[in-house]
Amino acid sequence: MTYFTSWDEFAKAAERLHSANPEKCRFVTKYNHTKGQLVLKLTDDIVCLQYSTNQLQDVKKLEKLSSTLLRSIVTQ
Amino acid sequence: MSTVEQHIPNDQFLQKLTAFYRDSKIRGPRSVYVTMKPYDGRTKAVPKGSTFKEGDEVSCIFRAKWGSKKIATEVKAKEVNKFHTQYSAIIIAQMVNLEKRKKTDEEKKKTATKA
Repeated sequence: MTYFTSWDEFAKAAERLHSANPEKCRFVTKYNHTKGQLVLKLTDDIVCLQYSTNQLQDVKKLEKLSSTLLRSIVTQ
Repeated sequence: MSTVEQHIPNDQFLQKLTAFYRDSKIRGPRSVYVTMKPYDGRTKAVPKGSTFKEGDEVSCIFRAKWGSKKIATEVKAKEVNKFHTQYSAIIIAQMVNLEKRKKTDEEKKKTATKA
């Protein structure tokens, strides 16, 4: 599965996938300090969305997205 | 796996997670994984295709893995705001080895012509 190239597309797709199948979705973040790389993944075991970045500004965006996902997890 | 996963309290989880991030910079495995997923409190396998029962309180599981070390915690619905505030403080403080800002093509050209 290929990586998304734009954050906005990834975030939009992630929220859509999550609202379609909230129970099965899991969200994984992988941070590698030496490589300076952050990989995000959201999957429901059918569709897999991935985004890879080396940009510091994406941490802020990750914070926002994880907050949205976390909130919708507990309010489903 | 037949063993039931041990959930540690939220604050302990966050402490250990910080240690994972810190240690990954200086020794051992280099990647830290954090997973979040919904959880309905069951500890046994359920038939394929079954869904969460109506009325069950859904909480959120956070799992973190660094090398062979694994930790997990259950975040209750009412703890979510508090937990997320602390969690974001950790990732902002720890995920620091990333590039400040992507140079746009125009800026790249500028520096290229200068040099």
